[in-house]
Amino acid sequence: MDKRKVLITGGAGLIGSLMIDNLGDKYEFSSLDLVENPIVHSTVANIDDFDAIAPAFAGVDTVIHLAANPHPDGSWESNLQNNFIATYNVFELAKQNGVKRVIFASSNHSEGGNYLDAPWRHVNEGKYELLKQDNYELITETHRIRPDGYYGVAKAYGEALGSYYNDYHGLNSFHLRIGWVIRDNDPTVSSHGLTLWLSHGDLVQIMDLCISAPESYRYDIFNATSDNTWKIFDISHAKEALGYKPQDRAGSELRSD
Amino acid sequence: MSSSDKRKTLITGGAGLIGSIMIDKLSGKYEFSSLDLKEADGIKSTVANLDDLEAITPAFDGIDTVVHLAADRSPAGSWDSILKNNFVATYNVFEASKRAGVKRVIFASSNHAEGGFYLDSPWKHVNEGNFHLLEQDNYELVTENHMIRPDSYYGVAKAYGEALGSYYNDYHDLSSLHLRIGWVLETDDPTFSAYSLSLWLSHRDTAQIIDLCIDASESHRYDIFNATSDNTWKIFDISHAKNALGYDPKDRAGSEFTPRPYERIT
Repeated sequence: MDKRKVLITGGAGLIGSLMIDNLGDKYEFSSLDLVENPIVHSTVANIDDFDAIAPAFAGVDTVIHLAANPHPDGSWESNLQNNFIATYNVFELAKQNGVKRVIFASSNHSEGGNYLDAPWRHVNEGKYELLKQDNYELITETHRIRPDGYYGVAKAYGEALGSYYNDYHGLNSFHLRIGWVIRDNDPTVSSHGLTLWLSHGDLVQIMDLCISAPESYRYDIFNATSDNTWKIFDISHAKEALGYKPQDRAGSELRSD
Repeated sequence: MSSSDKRKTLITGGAGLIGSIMIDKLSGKYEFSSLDLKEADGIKSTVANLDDLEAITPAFDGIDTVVHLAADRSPAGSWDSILKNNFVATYNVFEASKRAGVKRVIFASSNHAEGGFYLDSPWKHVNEGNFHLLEQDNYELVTENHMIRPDSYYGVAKAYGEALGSYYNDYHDLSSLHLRIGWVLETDDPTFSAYSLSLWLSHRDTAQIIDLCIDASESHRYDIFNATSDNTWKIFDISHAKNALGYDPKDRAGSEFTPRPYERIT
């Protein structure tokens, strides 16, 4: 069987590298990034440059759109260029090239404003004594949009743009509200890390599920963290609709250093 | 109330249709000024393009409330135009409001943030005038809690404006209320299509609901409201505006229409 051709924007970054290392036997990956990924075919260009990135989309079945200014507190100007305009470029080129599906790395930051309020504030600050485990409200994908920065606004925008391209251009899209993929894969750095952790293994699993979901599955948004003890986000939708079975679970204790 | 005590309200797009309705019906209550590409009759006007943050900044000086209407108003607007006139312009309005200490922005969002729903039943039937396929008052309506489902770049930009307003409220103490406006018609006559029968927001209901938003207590920090008249065949549920704002629509489109193109007067 021919392997599905999957373009990763930001393929030289942490998440892109994890996917290429762990799923390279199953999919034929290519990368579009500011630097080359030495393992796969790479296009080196800035995704705010529509014409420069266009060739990377030829013959691609699925696009994983990770590239962005990744800083949750990035400036408006940088977000406009690297997150707003870039995401339009990716969807428009995917449409023009007959791509079947875009998987968009959305973010918990599109809902991060909720951390200002209890009970999620307590989770985020590690005040577990104020909570009863498994017995407080979690944020689902149907909560209203509540971003905590221009970055989070841009993620909410990407989800809306994807809905439009699905409904009107036959380009389906899945949106993963990714918690936190940590370079050393150790969430015990902070209570924020304990609740938002998406382990490397679980990241690879949920991305794989999104790539291989049937074509009839047109559009959806999924909260994406590991099965952590103290959650802010409800991950039951990904479990039920995608068959996501997270293998990792952060606990309650922080590391001592 | 002396004129100096009236709430200072800046209307972006003050020379347009909705701005003109507001100035006509609410000038006794508020001290309006306009920021638009041309002067608005009878009120202080700043003539500048909203994509230019420096040029529009003086218009926000001393303002209590901003009603942000200006945009490329075409639902079929191109990406390049929407990027400049809707995305960048709306950032400029929120940012200039924050810097000037404005208390609240009222954002003219749109039904087009949810227009993708017209592809599906039962809303498709409403939109196409197939009323015989529906039981009146007994089908699901689109509420403000439905997922975002825009029908265009214009609609995506409206959803973005709502998200941006949430951020400025939570992190910059700038309250914002968002009206998903149906369709305000220059003729104020919706009897030319099923679409307009469903989406009509009459001139006086426009003035009423914007007045309620300007007047809402400061503790009402952030919200989104569907805004149409009390039309017979609805797509959008307006009960949230009724319950939370006290909106009491005076007009109601019926079921009868004569198909004809809608032509803007201006």
